[in-house]
Amino acid sequence: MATADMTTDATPQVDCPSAEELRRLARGHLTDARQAVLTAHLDRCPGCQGRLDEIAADGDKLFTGCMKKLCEPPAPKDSAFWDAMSEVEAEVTGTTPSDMAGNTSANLSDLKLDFLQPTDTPGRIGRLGAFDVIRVVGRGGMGVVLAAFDESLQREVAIKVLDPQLKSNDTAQHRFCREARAAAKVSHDNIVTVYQVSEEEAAGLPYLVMQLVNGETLEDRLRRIGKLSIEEAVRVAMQAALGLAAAHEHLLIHRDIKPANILIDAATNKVKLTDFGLARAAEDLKLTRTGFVAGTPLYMAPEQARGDGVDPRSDLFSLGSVMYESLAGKPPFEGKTPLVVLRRLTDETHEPLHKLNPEVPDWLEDVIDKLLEKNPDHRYQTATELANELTVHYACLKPATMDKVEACPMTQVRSWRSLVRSRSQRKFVSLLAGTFLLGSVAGATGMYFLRPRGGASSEVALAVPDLGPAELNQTDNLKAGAVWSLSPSPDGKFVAAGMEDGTIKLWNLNGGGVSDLGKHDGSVWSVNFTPDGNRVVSASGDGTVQVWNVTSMMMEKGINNRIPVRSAAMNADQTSIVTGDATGMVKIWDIESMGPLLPGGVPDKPRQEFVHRGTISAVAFSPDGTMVASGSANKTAILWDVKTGKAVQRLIGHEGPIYSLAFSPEGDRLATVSWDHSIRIWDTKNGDLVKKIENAHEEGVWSVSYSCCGKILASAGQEGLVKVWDIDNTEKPIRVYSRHKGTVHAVHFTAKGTQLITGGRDGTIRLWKVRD
Amino acid sequence: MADAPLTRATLLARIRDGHDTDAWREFLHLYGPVVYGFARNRGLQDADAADLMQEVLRSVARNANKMEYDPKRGTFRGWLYTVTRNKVYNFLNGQRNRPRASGDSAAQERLDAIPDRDEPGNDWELEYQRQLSAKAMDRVKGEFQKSTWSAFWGTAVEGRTPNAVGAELKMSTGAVYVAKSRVIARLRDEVKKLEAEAEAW
Repeated sequence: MATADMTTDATPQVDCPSAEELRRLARGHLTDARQAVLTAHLDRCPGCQGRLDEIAADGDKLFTGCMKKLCEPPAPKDSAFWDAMSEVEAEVTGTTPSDMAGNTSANLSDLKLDFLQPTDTPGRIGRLGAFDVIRVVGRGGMGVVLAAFDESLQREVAIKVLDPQLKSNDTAQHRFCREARAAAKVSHDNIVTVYQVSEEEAAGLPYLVMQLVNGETLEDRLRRIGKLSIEEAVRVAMQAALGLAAAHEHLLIHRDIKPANILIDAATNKVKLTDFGLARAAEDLKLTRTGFVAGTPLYMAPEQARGDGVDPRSDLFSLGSVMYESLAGKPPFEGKTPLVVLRRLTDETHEPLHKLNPEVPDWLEDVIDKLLEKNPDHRYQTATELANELTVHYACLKPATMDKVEACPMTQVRSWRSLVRSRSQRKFVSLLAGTFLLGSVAGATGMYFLRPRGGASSEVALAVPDLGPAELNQTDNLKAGAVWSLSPSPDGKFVAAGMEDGTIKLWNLNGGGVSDLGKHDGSVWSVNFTPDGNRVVSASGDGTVQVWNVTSMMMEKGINNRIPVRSAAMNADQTSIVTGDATGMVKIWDIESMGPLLPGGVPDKPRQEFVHRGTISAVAFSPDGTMVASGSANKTAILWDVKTGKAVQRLIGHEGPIYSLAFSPEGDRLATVSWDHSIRIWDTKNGDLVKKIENAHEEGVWSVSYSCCGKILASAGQEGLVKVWDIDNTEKPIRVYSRHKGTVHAVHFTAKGTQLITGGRDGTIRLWKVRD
Repeated sequence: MADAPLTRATLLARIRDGHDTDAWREFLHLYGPVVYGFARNRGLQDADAADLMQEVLRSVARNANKMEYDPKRGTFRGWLYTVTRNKVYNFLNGQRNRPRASGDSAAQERLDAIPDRDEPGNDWELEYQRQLSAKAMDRVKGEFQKSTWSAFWGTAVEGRTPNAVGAELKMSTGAVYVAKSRVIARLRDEVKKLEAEAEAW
C-alpha cells in the first residue's frame, strides 16, 4: 500500500507521542483506536520511526546489532567447529549428537536393539561386530536396517540384521545367509553392494553389511510425486535392467522387484536395486506361519504367484509392473485382498497404459506389455535384451548429453590429442589388460590380454581402451579380496599390489604371471616400490610395516607400530619411511635402524612423531624429501617440515575424509582427494588452494596420481570410474575408464607416465595404455 | 518482565547436576560459538579455534560439579571469558616462542590485540548476544502472527527498508514499524530472561 495514501487520510494530525506511549505501543498495551492513530503517525514521521526502534530495543545497540547477524551460522559449513562441537557434545552428554538423533523417527524407538553390544565410542548407539552403529534407518520385512560406521575403512555402511523372529526358523536363516552371499558376489553399479555377511556371535543373528545409499526409494518418490516423466521412467527401468542383468549372470534371481526395493541415490541419481533374494527367506517364514505366499503379490509374476517356481523372466515381469506403475501411478493389477490380485494377475489383462497416461509413447507401451506377458516365453528373455532396448530409446529421448565416454568417444579423442601434441604418428593402439585369476583356473594365473578391438577404428580404440572380454573375477573366487594399493616398479616391469586378505602380489608385466611376495595379518593398505626397484615396502592393518626383497621374495625387516598403519611412503634417497596410522599419528622411521620383525615384539620407536588426528589415510614425502604431507579422515591435510617437525601448512577445505594425496613431480603442488567427491590442488609453499575440481567423481575419490610431467592427474572413484585430468583445463576429464566393477581403490601412473594401473573392489588389477 | 523471579532452575544449576543432558546441550550451543568466534577474531585458524573451543568446554564439563557461587569471581560469563582469554593468550604466546614458526610478528600482533583486562570485549559480547537472541527467537516466534513476524524479519534481520517490506506484506509503513517494535521488545525481554537463567550460579 502506498504511503502517500495514508497521509491524505482523515485522521487529524497529532503531535508526536511521548516516549512512554511509544513504549506502550511496542508492548501492545494501547487501545486499538490509539494504536491506529499512532500507526498512521508512524507512516509519515521519520523521527518517531527512529524513536520507536530505539525504545523497543531499550536503547541496546549491541542487541540491535546482533539482529542483523541472526541468520548467520556460528561458523562456515566446512569449519572444524562442527565436528569439534558434536565431539564435545557426545562426550559431555554421553549420547548421540543431536543431528544424528533427529534421524531416528519415533515409531522406530520401540525396536528391540538388545543384540547390540555397548560401545565406548561417543555418538554411537551400540556395537555390532566390528561396526559402530550410528542410528536406525528403517525396518523392513526381513529385519532392522542400521546405519553404522566401519572404522577400518572409515566409511558409513548399512547393516541389515535378520529379524530375530526369523532366527528360530532354520530354513529362513540358512536362506538369508545363502542368498546374501550370492548377492555379495555381484558387484554392479546398479546394485547395492553387499560387502559381507556375518553373524552376531552372542545371539547368533546373521546380518548383511551393505553400501549405504543416501536417497529415497522409488516407492517414496512415487508417493511424493505420483508418477515419473517418460524420460525418468525409462532411465530408472534401464538402470534397474542393467542391475538385473548383472545379477542374472550370476544366476541370482531377485524375486521381489518392487518400488520399495529400487533405491535412487540422492547425490548421483543412480538407481540401485537392493534386497536380492531376501524375499525368499521371508517367504519361508510366512509360509510356515500362515501357509500362504509372502506379502502382497502386486508386482509378482503369475508363475511366481501360483508357486510354480521362478526364473530370471519373473523378475522381468515385476520390473514391467514397476514401469507400469511409474507411468500410470498405479500397479497393473490391484485388488482389496491378495487373492483378488492373484486372480487378476493370472486371468486378466491389465488396462492399456495409454488410457491412464496418454503421453506414453507406443514403443514404451509395447515394451511394458511384452514384460507383462503371462507366459514367460513371450516376454523378453533376458534383462540384457530389455536394457539394450531401453538404452537405444533413451538415447533418442535424451539426444544432446551423454555422460559416459563410451557414448561419445570422439570428443575425448580430441581433447586427448591436443594434449599430447608431441606424438606425431599415432598407431593403432593395442591395449593391455590385466586380470588376476587367482582361483583354481589352472595355468591362467596372471595372464593378461593383448588384443585390438575388433572392427573398430583406431580413433575409437584409442578413446575407449578395450580390455577384451570383461573377464572379471568375483570376490568369492578371488581369495585375495579387494585390491587396496598398487605400486609400479620404476623399471616398469612389475606391479606390486596390496590385497584385502593381507597378501602382497607381484605381477610380472612381461608375462611372468603373478606371485605372492609376502603376507600380512591384515589388509595391505599401502605398497611402494623403493626407488631402486629392489624392494617393496608394505603397510597393513596388522600394525606393521614390512620391507620385502623382490629378488629373494623374503621379508628383510619390519616396523611394529602396533596400531594399524593406513599409509606408508619412502623418501627418494631411501633413508626414511613415513607412516600414518589409525590414531592420527604421523611417524618417520630410519630405515638404517630398522631390524627384523619379531612376532609379539614391543612396538618400535620412530625417529619423529607428528600429531595430526583422525585416521591418516595418506602420507607422502615431497620429492626433495624436506616435507611430509599427511591426509586425514578429519578432512585436513598437513604439510610438515621434516627437519623441525612443525606443521608448516594446514590445508583446510575438504568436506569429507581425505583418502589420498600426491606431490607433483616438482614438489610445488600437492593434490588431495576426498570422500567429498573433489580433487584439490594446493601450493605447497604457502598452502593456497590453487585448483579445485568439484565433483570430480560422482562419489568419493579414493586415489590420485601425478604423471611424470606434472600436468596430468589420474583419479579413481567410488563409483568405479578412473579419470585422467589435464590440470590446466579441468572442466572435463580428458579420459574416463569405466571397466572396473565397483570401487576403484588405487590408481597409479607408471614411471614413464605412459600407462595407468588400477585396482579395486572387484579384485582385479588393470593396466591401461595412456599414450605411446 | 526482565525482573520476574526465576521460575526455571538456572542453566548452571542444571549442568552441575550432571545428568541433565538437555542442559548440557543448551550450554554447549550457547557458549561454544562464543568461544570459537572469539578465538577466530583473535587470529586463530579454524582448526585451532575449534580445538580451543573443545578445551574450554571440556574444562567446564570437568569442573561443573565443583562450580559454586563466588561473588569475587563475578558473573559466569566473565569467568568463562577469562578462561578463554587465557587460553588464547597461551596459544598465541606459544606460537610466538616457537622457533622458526611462520608469522612470528603476526602472532605478536594478535597477542598485543588482546586487551589486558578481564572485561569481556565487544566481540565476545556480540557473539553471546547473538546466541541468546537466536534462542529467544525460537521461543517467542509462535507468539506472533505470520505477517508481524515477517515484518520484523524483513526489516531487522534482513535489513530491508520498511517501505519495501510493507509493500510486500500489504502493510503500511507505520504498521511495519509497529510490528517490528513488538517483536524486538518481546525478544529483548526474552534475551534478558535467558541471560539471567544462563548466568546465575
